[in-house]
Amino acid sequence: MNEDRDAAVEAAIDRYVQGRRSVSEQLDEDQRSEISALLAVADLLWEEAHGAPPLADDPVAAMLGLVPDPTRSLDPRALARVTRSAGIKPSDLSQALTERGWKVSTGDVFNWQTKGSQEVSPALIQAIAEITGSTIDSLTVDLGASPASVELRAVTDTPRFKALVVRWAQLRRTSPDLATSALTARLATSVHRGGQPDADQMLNSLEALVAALEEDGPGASNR
Amino acid sequence: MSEVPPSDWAALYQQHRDAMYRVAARVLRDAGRADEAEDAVMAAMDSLMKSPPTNVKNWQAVMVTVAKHRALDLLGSAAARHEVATDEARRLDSTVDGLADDVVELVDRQRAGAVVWDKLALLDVRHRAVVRDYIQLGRPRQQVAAELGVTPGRVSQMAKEALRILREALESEGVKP
Repeated sequence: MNEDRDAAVEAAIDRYVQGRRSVSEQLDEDQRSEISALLAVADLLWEEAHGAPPLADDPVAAMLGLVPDPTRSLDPRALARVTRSAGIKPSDLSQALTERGWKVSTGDVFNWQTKGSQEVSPALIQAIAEITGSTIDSLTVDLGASPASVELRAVTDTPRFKALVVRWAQLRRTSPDLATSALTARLATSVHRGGQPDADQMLNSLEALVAALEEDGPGASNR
Repeated sequence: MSEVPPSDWAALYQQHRDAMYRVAARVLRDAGRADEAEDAVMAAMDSLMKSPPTNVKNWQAVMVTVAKHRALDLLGSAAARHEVATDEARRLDSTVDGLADDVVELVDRQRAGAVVWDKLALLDVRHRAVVRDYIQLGRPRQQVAAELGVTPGRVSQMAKEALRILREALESEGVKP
């Protein structure tokens, strides 16, 4: 009896995955109720996997200038100079950006002024330029297409890297954006160490890391 | 925040793009066209930027609703609801309160989604792989089975076991999927 019941549930799940949400009328009320409840959980899981893609893969984000430009970086000295001459404190700038819809803290502005950032998007730099009465060109430095960044891009554009991002996001219970950043940062470390690993070696290494963490389970400590 | 300078559509989009994609994918899913969510979101941003609504109290409500409308347009149910962007903007202005239901539902589902995401930790690595590859991504059962070194029937069993564990975990926290 239980085997029949299980088989009915499994068949309903298989039909669901194929896009057919039918529950046999021949099943009793309890079975139908269980199947509906399990498919509701499956719906939730499906939706979790169908949110926005990572910024770098989102054409709308690219159109709006939300994807950081690897060849230009916010220049910390230029930003400090521009804000000083405009009499704008870090807290003023973060407040002005927040009012325009950006999620920026005073600490973020301090960091930009001391360390700069390659993660600040062109759209956000444009907003900073408008607030400070400057221009994007005056706030950024040209990094050029360094061999390392070209090498990195060749890896992060691969379907294999994107599949690892999905696994990492699930493992860390984080967004695709953060997963992409985390894995890209790991790749960047290996590129900048100067060992000249090729794309396959970098992906193999990343895959091994993800697989090891998956074996440990999502609760495993950070590596 | 009620008025937004054009350059800061990017900020709004960054905040709400996940919700826009989710709602568009949900609408398109039954037609097997969830992968067109990107087109709906692109069309939504295009119409919003061309005719920005004014006096907006809840940007999430507006952006999610427009994404949903554009997804419905893609399905061809546009005839009844297609309006030029200007008309839509005017309607959004006057019915902001009416948009709340969509957002309340979306927020509830996002909250439940976060819990189920968290509860995946209860599954072992192989069951998580089945959840990801079979249920979430809808990959062919045969392929998933081959990768795990099990029979296709076992994949279905593992999917059922995973869903039962997750259902129980959600119920124990009073979360309704």
